[in-house]
Amino acid sequence: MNANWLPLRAVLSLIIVLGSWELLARLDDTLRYDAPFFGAYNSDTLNEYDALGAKGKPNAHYLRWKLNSLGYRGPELNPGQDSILCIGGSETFGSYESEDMEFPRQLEKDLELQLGEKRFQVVNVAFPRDGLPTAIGRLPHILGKLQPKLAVVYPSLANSVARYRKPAPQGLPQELINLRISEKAWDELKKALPESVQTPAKELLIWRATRHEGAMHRLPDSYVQRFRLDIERLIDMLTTNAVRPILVTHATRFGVIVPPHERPILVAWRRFYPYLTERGLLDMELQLNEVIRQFAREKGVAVVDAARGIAPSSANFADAVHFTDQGSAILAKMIADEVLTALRHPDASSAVRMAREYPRQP
Amino acid sequence: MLFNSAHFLIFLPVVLLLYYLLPHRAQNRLLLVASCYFYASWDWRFLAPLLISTSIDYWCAKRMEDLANAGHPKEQRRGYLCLSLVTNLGLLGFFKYFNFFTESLQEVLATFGYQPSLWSLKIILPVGISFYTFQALSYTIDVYRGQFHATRSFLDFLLAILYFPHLVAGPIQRAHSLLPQVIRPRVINGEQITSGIHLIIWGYFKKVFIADNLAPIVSQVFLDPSPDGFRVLMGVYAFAFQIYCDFSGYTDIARGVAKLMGFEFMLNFNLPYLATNPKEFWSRWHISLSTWLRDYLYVPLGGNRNGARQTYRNLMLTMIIGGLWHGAAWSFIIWGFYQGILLITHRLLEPWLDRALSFQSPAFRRLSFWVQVVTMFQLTCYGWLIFRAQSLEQIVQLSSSLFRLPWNVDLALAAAIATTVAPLVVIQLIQHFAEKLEFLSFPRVSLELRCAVYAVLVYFSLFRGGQPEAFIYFQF
Repeated sequence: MNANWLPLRAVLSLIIVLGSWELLARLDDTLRYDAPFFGAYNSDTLNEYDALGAKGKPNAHYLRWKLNSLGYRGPELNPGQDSILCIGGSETFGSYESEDMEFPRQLEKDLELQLGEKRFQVVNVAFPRDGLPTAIGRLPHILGKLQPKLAVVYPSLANSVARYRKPAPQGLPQELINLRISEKAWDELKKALPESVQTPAKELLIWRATRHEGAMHRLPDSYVQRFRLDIERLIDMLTTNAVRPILVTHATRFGVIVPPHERPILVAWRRFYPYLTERGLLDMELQLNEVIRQFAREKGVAVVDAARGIAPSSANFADAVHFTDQGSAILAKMIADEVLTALRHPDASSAVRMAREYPRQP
Repeated sequence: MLFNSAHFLIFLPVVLLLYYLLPHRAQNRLLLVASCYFYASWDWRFLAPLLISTSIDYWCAKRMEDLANAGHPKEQRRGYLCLSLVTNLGLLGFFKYFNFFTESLQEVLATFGYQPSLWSLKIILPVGISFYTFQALSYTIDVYRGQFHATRSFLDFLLAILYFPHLVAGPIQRAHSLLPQVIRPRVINGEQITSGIHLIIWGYFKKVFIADNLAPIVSQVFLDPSPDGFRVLMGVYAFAFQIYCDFSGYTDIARGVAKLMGFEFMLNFNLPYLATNPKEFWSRWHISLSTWLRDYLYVPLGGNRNGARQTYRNLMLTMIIGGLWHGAAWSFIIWGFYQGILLITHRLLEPWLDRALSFQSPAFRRLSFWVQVVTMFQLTCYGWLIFRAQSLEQIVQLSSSLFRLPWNVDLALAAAIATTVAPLVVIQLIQHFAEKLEFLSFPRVSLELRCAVYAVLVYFSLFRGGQPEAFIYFQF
């Protein structure tokens, strides 16, 4: 080979390698997930935006996440069938569970099994990054369209607090060139890198995000009060529309003490909410869950205490707050029991039962 | 540290970078430190038996060399050979076979009504002990036979044994092949680098894409308490390709990494599933082990020199010991026995087969070649059933399921295996017809085409690989 041509052939070979990878990545996505061959294909595929932020794009699909014609995760709705709403954030939408194993789907199956008939369709109206303010904003439209009988509210606490700090993020600017292979390579790299590398990298990002403002060790009282007001507003909206609410406290992978081997998970969670310290995040969970319990007791609203009922372990949580199939199954079963109680005793308050079944932990 | 771990993917470039910057002697020291680190990353305590046996082997070989130089007869060197054999086989026996023999003895005595309380120790098997023991033994035996001169440098000998690409799963390098490469400065040319990269990419593809994607299918079948005959057949076929791609993938990576440093390792697999008979299979499968067993066991036992009966006995003994080398379990002994039966049967039928084929037309011979390949593959696969089974009961159960009709044909399972294995079959057929193992190395294949094929292989290894599994042969 002529030595003068070597650099040119090397560049050509590099282009061939990168081109082959990109082509394969697109073919792979098309064959496996029915993704469009051209254009971007990432989690943003599921989104459309309005004044409240991102919401589900009708009929969109990305990997195992499929939205129906209303933009909600799950199958098409049956007109005329009684509905149960599931309101929440990414924990309710489902992140790590296998297809159809997110807790709203498992709740539907549990109810069908226990009632012996498909009496309810469970509508998962949750969407990632939704907090209580978003749910309140979207609820009138949802209630008008679906007229549900019951609503399960599993608020994403950190997302709610995030909305108290900043307005809803709007659509992200589209990249001019979207290389799918780079996204795949990045995902693989994240999986391959040991925690001893990933955790310091995340800590560095947290430090950069907080170096000017600092971070809070405790959630300010104003946020707690606002959360209580939001819960109140949401429940009011539901009850005035003849929807029976079931509140669910927020469960995490962490118990009272976070063991050292679980700290990387806590740091990974904090990376999305750097304005709270690790202690601050755990404190937020304790304070806001107590708000939910107290509110439920005072108003006689049914409550499922997932925070105390789901064991904090890696078997139930894939990361800090998102469920595994098993964790979802446990939560679905707890909610199904509460729904059945509500059906048997339409007027009974579950607050007293809750206090008995889930005694306060030290 | 597995070849398919992120740890190794960081370790290797660092070692290579330093290696290229250093002169020869410093390269050897670097490789020694890197090899110790590589091995100690499993468990640093594993280094103890390795260093003990290596030190004794070095000393024994040196003493034998001194005695030979002083003109002493061979008998005087025997003591040192025995010491080396006892040390190596003693360590191997203790770590690998102690519990197996005590438990087996206990079972035998129990059948006669005795209930002795024999020891059973909690022993961790040092990774690769079977491989490095055979490597070290070949050195002392060769020095004893006067076929190879003992080295005067302990560090060179230590590196020849410890050199990380072959340390834990071979190929079992003979001292006469590796030690001179350690001692002499190595020259690395472009062809070696290209060939090394080719082997590494192809090895990773076989391991990560084929073997790791077949692993869950195989596990499902072999964990099924009452599998259907068709599923057993598919499971065994899948295992045949899994174990081949797993082991030959490891070997390819090892050979490729060695090439990047200027070392040449022996070929360990030569399209074994295209063998037409058991004898040919063993000249194509795990060549470094089969030639080791031939040279250090079969031939010293008498080989085929003392008549048919002695030959059959030697073949059977060699194969049973070869089976036992793979693991301390009765299924491996039965597998060795089965391979012995195949070799003996073939030896009996060989003259008749040769005569029958010598009169046929070339077209018939071509057809008969493929018939023999398919037949041999089925026989090999039955051997893999024995090899993979967890117990004698499972061998019986799976065998009876296999021959119990009617089968419940699961086309989806067959398709899943076929699509996973298809790239291997296509490439190996190209290798067979081109009579060249490095399937993209012939000159008419342009750099650009090679890059495109490598890009495909790397893509499938990176993004479509199965759940990372340890290499099967590490347990041996």
